[in-house]
Order: sequence, then structure tokens, then C-alpha cells
Amino acid sequence: MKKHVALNVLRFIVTAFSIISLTIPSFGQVDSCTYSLEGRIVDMETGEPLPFANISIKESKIVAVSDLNGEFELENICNDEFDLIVSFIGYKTVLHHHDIYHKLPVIHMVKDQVLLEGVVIEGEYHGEHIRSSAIAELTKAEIQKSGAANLGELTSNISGVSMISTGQNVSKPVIHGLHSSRILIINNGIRHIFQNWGNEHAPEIDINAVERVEVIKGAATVKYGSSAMGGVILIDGNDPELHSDLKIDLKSNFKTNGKGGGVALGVAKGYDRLGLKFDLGGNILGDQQAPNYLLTNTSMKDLAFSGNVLYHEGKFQTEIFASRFYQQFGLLRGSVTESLLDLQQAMNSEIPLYTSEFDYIISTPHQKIKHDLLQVKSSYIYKEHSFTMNYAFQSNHRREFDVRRGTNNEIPSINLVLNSNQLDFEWILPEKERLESKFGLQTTYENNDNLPGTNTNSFVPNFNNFQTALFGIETFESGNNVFEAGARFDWFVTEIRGRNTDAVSTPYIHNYSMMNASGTLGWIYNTQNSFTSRVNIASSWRPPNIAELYVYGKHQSSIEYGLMHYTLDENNKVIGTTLTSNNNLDIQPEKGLKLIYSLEYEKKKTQAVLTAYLNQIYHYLYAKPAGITKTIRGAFPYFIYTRTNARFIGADMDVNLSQSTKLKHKLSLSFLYAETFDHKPLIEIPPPSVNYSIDWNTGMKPFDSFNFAVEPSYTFKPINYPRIITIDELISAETNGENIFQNNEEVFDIFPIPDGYFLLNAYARLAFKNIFLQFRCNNLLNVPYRVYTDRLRYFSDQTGRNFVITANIQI
Amino acid sequence: MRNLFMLLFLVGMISCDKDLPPVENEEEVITDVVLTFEPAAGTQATTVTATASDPDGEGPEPIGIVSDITLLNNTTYNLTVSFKNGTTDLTSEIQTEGAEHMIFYGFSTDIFTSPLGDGNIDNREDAVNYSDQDINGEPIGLATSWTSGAANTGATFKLVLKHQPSLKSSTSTVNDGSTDMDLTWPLTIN
Repeated sequence: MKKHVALNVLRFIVTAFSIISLTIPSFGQVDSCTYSLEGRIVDMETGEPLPFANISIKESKIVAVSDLNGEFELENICNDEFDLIVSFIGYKTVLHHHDIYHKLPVIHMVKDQVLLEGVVIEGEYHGEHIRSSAIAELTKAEIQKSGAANLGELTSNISGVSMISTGQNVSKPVIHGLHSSRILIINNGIRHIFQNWGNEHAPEIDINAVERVEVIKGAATVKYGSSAMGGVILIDGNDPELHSDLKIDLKSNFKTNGKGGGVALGVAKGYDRLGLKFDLGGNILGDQQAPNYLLTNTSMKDLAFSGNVLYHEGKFQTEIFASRFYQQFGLLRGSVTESLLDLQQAMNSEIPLYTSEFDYIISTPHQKIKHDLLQVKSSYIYKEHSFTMNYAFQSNHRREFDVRRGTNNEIPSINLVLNSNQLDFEWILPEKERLESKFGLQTTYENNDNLPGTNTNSFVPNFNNFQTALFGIETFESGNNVFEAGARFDWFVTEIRGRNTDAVSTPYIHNYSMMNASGTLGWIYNTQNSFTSRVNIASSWRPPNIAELYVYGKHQSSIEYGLMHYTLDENNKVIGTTLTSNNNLDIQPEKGLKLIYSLEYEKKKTQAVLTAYLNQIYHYLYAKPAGITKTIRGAFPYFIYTRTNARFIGADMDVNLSQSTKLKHKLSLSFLYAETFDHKPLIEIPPPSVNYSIDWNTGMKPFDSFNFAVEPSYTFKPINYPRIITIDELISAETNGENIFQNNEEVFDIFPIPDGYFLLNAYARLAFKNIFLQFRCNNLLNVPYRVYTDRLRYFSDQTGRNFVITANIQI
Repeated sequence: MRNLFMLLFLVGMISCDKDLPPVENEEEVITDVVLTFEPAAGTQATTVTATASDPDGEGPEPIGIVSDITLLNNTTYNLTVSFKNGTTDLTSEIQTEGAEHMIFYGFSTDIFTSPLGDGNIDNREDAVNYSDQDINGEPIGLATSWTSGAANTGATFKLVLKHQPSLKSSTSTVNDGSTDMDLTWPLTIN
């Protein structure tokens, strides 16, 4: 009897405990099997979604199949970290070590025979952006096809993005009409800090290391920092992968125009917890050729190497990246003029002055730049919160050599070292009831020094900048809608130390600081029938750059006075000022407001995006003509930096159409109208353009792919361009002592605006096992043309026909 | 790990220094040009100097032609030209780099009896009495000689200094190379 009761009591206790233990969540153990992962599968080359792909987690029974949009969801995942296996018939299986904190991965798959490997792009942490802003990207395949020589050329393949150049070797990207210090370039998650103020200062990016490019076309200041008024360019190389075999990548290219080329070698290997990647490459090019003459002194050479070490242990990951980029290149010899009459001479020459025989020698004028980077990035996941620290040290050394007398010809006229430290912290909270939150702290410290021995006055002063900012972004999903809101607070403080150009080089020290709050609001709406619309409004700001405030004197063919370096007397006459030390300066930043709307359509065979935008910039700093002065060399117009309010209105469109499995069409249009609020033109605004390409896959055996493509494009004559004042008019005004700008201070040009032009590019590419070969011809018709946004259009045409042969092999 | 980050941050910070930019010998910008006309021996004429000065360098103030050139009629002068930036003399540099520099002269027609004509700005072949030459035997123009004609007013005297690296020859003209100086003085002959 007692035994029977004892057994029942025991049974009861055991049952009670079981029931209790099932209902109470266990501490110390992660929530049992309630993780989920959503993602997307696309074809890497076409960007099209892959339906019916198999997604599974290694050593588990969890599987999913992607739907017609390539989307999938894995549910009931037990561990927060696992190996993801994605497979699809005819494509290379992708194995990727993943954790659930990296949301919305996009898995790019490649066909079995293709050289490239599939890549997983983890949407959220790395390069995650405000999703309501229009974002365009270049896939790895598009980058490979482009044969671009530098970042400016590469990004101009995206609609709405063009470039501003100083000859063949200097190109800077332009997003919706804004460039230099009005856009941000983010390289591997680091703000690329360089002398971004000059039109002739290209960003020092090794083009071979670029595997992925994304352009955010909205003002992205809240997430990325001041100066992102026009947008942000995000460049990434591939992160080292874990659990991967030794991969050796050899790339080479050869160009007939310039008779040069380059090679690049990449080595990568992944272990259990360690991933390693090393890259080394170099390019060399001789004088380039326009259709009717040689462009003397346009040779270039560069060298780049980088190393990347990734360590991953459970919830902790750290990455160390180091790189050096070294480049030296010449600028067209015939572009050097010291007086207006020299300039007139050069502009009137059919063939640029000083044209001589082809060689690889780089003489004056030329630039030598070296950019070093050391980055340490760590992330840690604690109770589903993600914390990331990103530190980078950069050292940018820029030397510019002008044509000078005697031994000074070997000495730079500008010798600047810009060292910077940036330290960013980011905290991403776990999603709670459809609300995602992200907060960050960003700090930058820059130091700019002129190095001695130039034998000429420093063009810009020394400075130290310190900038720190706090931001927060909230994203809320509700049905087919996603709402975004973000706010940011910045504090900027600087000390400028310079010397006047008087006889005793009187020094001056200036201190000032500024604060700014900016915000962003956005809305994404997904309809059920293939349309997605995005609208975003964002405010942005930019402290003036060093040149806009402090330049004084001649640079190339014009004389400019920065905002600090002149005053206007009672007759509005410009008086140059000698700067004295001042700690109470009140400098206003530029402020912008950008509204951007984009409509996307995606169905089986068609993808289209239409983007429209309005960007208003208040206190827009620019150089306007204020008079003509006579120096020992002769008469020169001079420009003063001043403020206005400017407006940029435009639209871009991209349409991708797969007519059949063999024939694909792509059409891109870009249009921009820019003016000041009182309807005056601005200079250097990119003209409208149309780009079309048609790609035919022959399906020819034994090759894995053998495609031909033709790319016609038309660039229109610029709209709303400045008035023309000839050099003769300038000189006679000076001789007569008349101020021709007194009644009209609008910007002007001294050279006729180029007409629209038609260009034709074509290429043939084939892949065979692990070899990729492309034979591309740029400017197939060898058309002489001039580009409005190239400063050297005064002196020469652009390059003529160029055959670019690319050969890549992967071992 | 934490120590490593601190170390890297400090290394980054050390590269900052709070210096002014260096004081440089400005060798590019010419701010003063002095013309010295020395009469040949045995005349009653006195030395004439004429200057052009741009004290604010590349500032908005235009240069000043500080004095007109006033020469005595029918007198031979030796002209020397000198260049300065503030107190730094740049003439010797141009002299040393003579093979890359040339001064061209232009003047009102036949205002001098030697050389006749209007100078070699419009035509390299026209006469100018150069007294110096570079290592290739071509004239530089820092020293020239002039014989004034009859009294005259309202004439002009123009000098153009060209920098012609790898371009200077017996046929190079005022249109070759880049301009380092382009100045015109009013000229009176008493």
C-alpha cells in the first residue's frame, strides 16, 4: 500500500516537473529553435532571382526552397550560427558560414562553368543603408565587363552617376551633379579621407580590388557623415571566407591605347576560424592617343597591395585590413599655360602644344600620390544585440609637380600629408515587434601638413579637424510598408595654421567649430504586382573645405580667393586680406535637403527603375568671377568664393530586359537640370545622356559562354550652361580699366561648349573552365570628342579607339 | 585586444603636430621687374630706371608701372633687366637657365635708330640688339643695347619673358613656351 502511494507521488512529481520545465524558458540556453532567416537567391551575372533553389542548414533537417522572387525563409533554427548550403541545378553550390544576426543575406550564384565563385552579401551590417533611398549597384560581372581604369570611369556606368576629370588620368565620380567634398566615398566601411577639394584630385582607390560597388543616390548624411550631400559610393572588396580552399586569382589586362596594361594577383584561404586574403597588382601605361594626335605626357603607373585577416570565434569577429596604393601619372603637357594669352594660344591650336613622340616617361606636370590604410574592425553579438567597432588610420601623401624653372622642375609645388584616424561604434538592436533600431557614434580626427622644400608658398594651410557624431535610425515594418526615420547630431571643430603670401610670410591661426542636426524620413511600399516605390527626404550638411576658405592666388589658369581671404569695400571692389589669428570666427556650413523618389518594377524578364530627385543646397559655396587683375605675367580673371543657393533637379532610368535566354537589353538615361535659386547657371553640370547595350549569348560550344555585346551611347550638349566670354574680351576690358563683371557676376566659360556626341563600344567575352577572356573596344569608331566636365577639353580631344584585352584565370 | 586598440589609436594620434606651414623661398612668382638703361660712355645722359611692381603678388591689386621710360634722343643705352620676388633676386636663376628662357622686345615702329623696326614679338626675324647669349648661342635678353632716335612721345616699350624648356631654338617665337612676364611701359624720348 505505501509503495503504491510512493510510486504515484513520484510519478506526479516527475510529471509536474516535466510540465513545468516545458513551459518555463530555460535560462542560459538560447531560445529553443525559434530563429529564422530570410534571404534572397539571385544569379550573379544577370541579377535575376533564382526560384526553386535549395537552401539548407548543414547537419540539420531544416530546408527551404526559394520562391518566384528568389526569396526564402528558414524557420525553427536552433543555433544562432550554422553553415548554410545553397544549391541549384547547373550552378555552383554555395557554402557559407552564417549567423542569424546578419539579416537578409543575398546569395549570388554562378553557373557551374563560370570562372567566378558565388558570393553571399550580408545585407545588414556591412554597407547597410537607409533602404528608402535609391540605391544602385554594379555586380561583379558588370565590373569585370567594364574594363574601367579608375573609380570615376567605373561608377559612371550607373545612371545618374558621371564623372568630372582633368585629362585621362584624373577622374572623380559625380552623383546627381555633386562631387568632391559633396559626396562620400566609403572603402571597406571606411570613409576615404583624401584631398577631396580639388577637381584634379582623384580618390586613391585600387580599381583591381573593387569587387562590389553600391551608390546611394539620396543624401545619406545621417548614417554616413557630413559631406554625403549628393550621395555615397560604397566600395568593397570580398571579405576573406572561412572554410575555403586556397584560391589564386590572376587578372591581367592590356590596352592598345597607351600601349600598356596591368596584372593583379590575389591569394585567399579560409580555415576554421581564420580567413586570409592578399592582393598585389600594378599598371603601367604610356602616352595615350586621341584620334588625330598623341596626348603627350599622359603616361601613368601604379602599384597596390593589401592584406586582409579575418578571425571569427562564435559571436566575436575581428578583421584587420592593411593596404598601400601608390600612383604616379602625367597631365597633358599642352595644358600648361601661364597667362591668358598662353591659354588662348593653347586653345586655338589644332594639335596640343608640345606634342612629341610616344614614350612612357612621366614629366611635369605630374602627380605622385600614396595612400596607406590600416583598419581594425570588430563585432560582437551579445544577447542578440550586435556591437561593431571600426577603426581606421589613413595616411595620404600628395605631391603635385608643375613645369618650373631649372632644378625646381624636380620639386613639387604642392606637398601635403593628410593623416586621419576614424573610430566608429555601432549598436544594432534585435528586431522587436517589427521595429529595428540602430545607433552609432562616429569620430574622425584629421591632420594636414605642408611638407617643406617646395620653394613656393603653400597653396592651402595646415589644419587639424576633429569631428564626432551620434546617430539613430529606426525602421518599422507594417504589411507592405516599411517606414524609416533617422536623426544625427554632429560636432565639428578645427584649427587652421597658415601663412600669408606677403614678404614676411605672416602666420595666422584660426579656430572655429560648428554643430549640426540632420534627419531623414523614408517610406518603402511594396505592391503585390511587382512594383516597389521608395521615397526619402533627408537633410545634409558640409563644413566648407580648406580650399574654399583659404586659397589665395594662381592655380593653373585662374586666380582664386577663398572666402576668408578677401573683403568687399563700399564700392563692392575686392580687397585681398592679410589673415591674422582669430579664435572667434563664425563660419557657416552648407546645408542640403534632398527629396528622392524611385519606382522599381521587377518581373520575370524585366527590371526597371525610375528615380526622380530634387536637391536644394543652401549657402552653396562656389567660385564666381569678380574682376580682372594684371600680374607680371599678364591679365587674369579672378574668382572669389561666395555663397548662393542652388537647386538640382533630375531623373535617372534603368531598364533591363531579357528578350530571350540569348538576348538581353539594357537602357539607361540620366537627366539633370541645375541652377541657382535666381535661375543663374552653375558650372560643370553633367549633360543628359543615354546609354544602351545589347548582349547576345551565342551558346557556342565548347565554350561555357561566348557573348558579343554592343554599347552605343549618346551624350547631349549641356543644358543651362554658362555664358561665354572670350579671352580677347577679358583682355580688352582690363586694358580699358572696365570691370566687366560689375553688372553681371554669373559664372562664365572661355571656350565653346562641346556639342553632343555619339560613342560606340563593343566587346566579346568568353569563359572556358577557369579562364575568362574579354576583348573590348572603346570608341570603336575612333570619334574625336570633348567632354564638358573634363577641364582639359580646352586643349585636346578625348582618347580615340582603345582595345582592352582582359584575361583572368582562377586556380 | 583592448590594449592593441589603444596602441593603434595612440600611434594614429602621434602623427599629429601643431606646426605652421614652412616658410618658403618663393621662386615662382615675380613681383618686381626693374629695367636699367645705362648710357654708353661719353654722353651727357643719365641712367634711367623703370620698374613694374605687383606687391600683392597674385592678389587683386593690379601691377603698377612705377615710372615711364624717358630716354635722351640719339643716345645709346645698355639695358639690363632684373627680376625679384620681394627681396629674393630671381635674375640669376633665369641667367643660369638661359637655354630655356628668352626675352622678346616690342616697341613703336622706328622709335630707335638701332634696332630699326618694331621688335621681334611679331616676327622673330626682326632686329633686336641682344648682348648676351645662352650656351647654345641663342640670345637670352637680360642684356640688350638700344640707340634712341629723335624726340617722340606716346610710344610704348614691351617685354615678354618666355620659359621655353626643350623648345628654344633659332626659330622659336614669342608664341612658344609659357609666359613668365608680359609688360608694356610708356616710352618718351626727349
